[in-house]
Amino acid sequence: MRKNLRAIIAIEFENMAYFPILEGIVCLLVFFCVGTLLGGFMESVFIVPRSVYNGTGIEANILEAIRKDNTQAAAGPLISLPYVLSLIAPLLSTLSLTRPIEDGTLRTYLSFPVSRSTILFVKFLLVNLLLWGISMGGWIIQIVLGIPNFQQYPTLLFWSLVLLLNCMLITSTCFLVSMLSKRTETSLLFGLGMWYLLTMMSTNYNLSIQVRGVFYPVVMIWASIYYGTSYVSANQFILPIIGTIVLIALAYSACHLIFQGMEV
Amino acid sequence: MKLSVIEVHDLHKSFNGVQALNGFNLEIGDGVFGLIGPNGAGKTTLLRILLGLITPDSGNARVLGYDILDQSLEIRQNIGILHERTAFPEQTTPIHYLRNTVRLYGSDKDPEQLLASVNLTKQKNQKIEGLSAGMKQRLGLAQSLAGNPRLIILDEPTSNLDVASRDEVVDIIFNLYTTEGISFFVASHILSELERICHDVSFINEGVLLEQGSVRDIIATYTSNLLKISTTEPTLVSEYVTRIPGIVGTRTTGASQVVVRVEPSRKAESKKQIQEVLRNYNVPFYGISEDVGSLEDAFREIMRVR
Repeated sequence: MRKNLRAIIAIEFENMAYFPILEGIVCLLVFFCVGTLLGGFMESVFIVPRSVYNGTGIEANILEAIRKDNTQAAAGPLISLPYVLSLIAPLLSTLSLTRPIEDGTLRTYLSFPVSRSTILFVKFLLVNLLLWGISMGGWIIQIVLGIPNFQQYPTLLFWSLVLLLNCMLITSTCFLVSMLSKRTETSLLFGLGMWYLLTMMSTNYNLSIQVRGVFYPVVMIWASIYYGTSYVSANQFILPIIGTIVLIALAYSACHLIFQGMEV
Repeated sequence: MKLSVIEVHDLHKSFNGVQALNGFNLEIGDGVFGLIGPNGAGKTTLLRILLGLITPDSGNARVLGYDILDQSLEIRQNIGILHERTAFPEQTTPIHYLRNTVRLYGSDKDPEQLLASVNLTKQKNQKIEGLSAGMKQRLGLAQSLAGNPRLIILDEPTSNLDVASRDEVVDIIFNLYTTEGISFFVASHILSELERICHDVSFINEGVLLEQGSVRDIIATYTSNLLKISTTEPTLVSEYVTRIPGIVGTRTTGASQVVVRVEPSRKAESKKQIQEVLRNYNVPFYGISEDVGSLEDAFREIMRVR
């Protein structure tokens, strides 16, 4: 079984490594980093030589301010990665599930001595790890560069969990859509529609943070970063997290059931 | 007593109201077995049910003694499979793909040797997308050997291949049977190849078993009442021959041959009469053959009778 699992992970990983979308993600990251760094460092002011304010040289204050601005500008877009990746999730899910159904490779895999549960689990795991890994990478860079407030939260693991839940929620629903449609175009269209719906809900301030948190867990983190813990207290996270886990479990169970009975 | 490799009992399967298998029964033992039928006869449906890829509406089957519904994983562990138009991850290389496949089966086979057994050593580091159809088919055969299969199921293994590639695949199958004792279950509609490699065959049409037996028995049974006339005027020959008493029917096969079906008890007499009639009317012909027919002739007869 362990050998099976290792081999199927290797096969799936290789398939994913050949997705053109992976190159797209890398390009996107490079674009974000280079673009914001350039933008940040272009900030400039004119300082009268040797001018003094409150006994301190103005030049030193301004340069310090510019340094802070630049680091924030450089890291700022990285926090948007979950948004961007949630847009990519339908593409990855579709390519991981629907494409093998269409091109016949799934039939080949299902003819090997591997259970369908294992195949589905590995696909789900790898898509999530990829999405989560990239968004975590972005966030960690952000923390290193020093975003105010963000460093106040010592439990990075907790934020990682929320980020992972966000990825899993989108992926499991995208998997479900792919499973039901079995067609690349349909599942892509539904996936993108769902991304739009979730994103819209996450920015609908008529809804409470807890409701928005269930469908888009990352909004809790943003709310905490921008408004502080007084706006979203720790115990308020419990409900959205449980809600998200329930949604993920429901969507994944439905996928599992459909996949078990799928005729290829 | 011969051990049953595949047992199928009263299998039914329909797709959107179309009956693909309609009470199909089959029992086969060791050896190379052919499943013959026209396109849409139910061959692929049967193979997919045996592999657990689709579920039958009713009936049951066992492969190597394992139940297809409850022990699908055990079945797949002990057999090899080559699907019609097998899809591979195109960006990877044959050697890499086989390494993973061997690991999937948890077997101790050497991927290099597997490639050598299907003459693909030179292409081992090429991307699969660059391989020809014949090479991909041979890679599929190597993949089917990746475990330690007691049975290999092949679905149309030589369709889409040129003659040279077909011969290669057929030779590999036969060598594997003779050297390693692996049984084969081959579904195909290319009868000349099945005739070369199979010990037993069964005929399927519209989801029902029409006939089963050894290749030689079936050919003898269904072609013993046939005479073949070589001629340049097949239409004319058919016209005159059908007038002779004892002639059951005629069929023109190509531009220079007419197959005549006669009453078995009057075969010699009918042959003599045909020769006389054609000579009397000056119809050109080069000979009348009583040779044993081919599996293709038998197939046509079975389809006609049933």
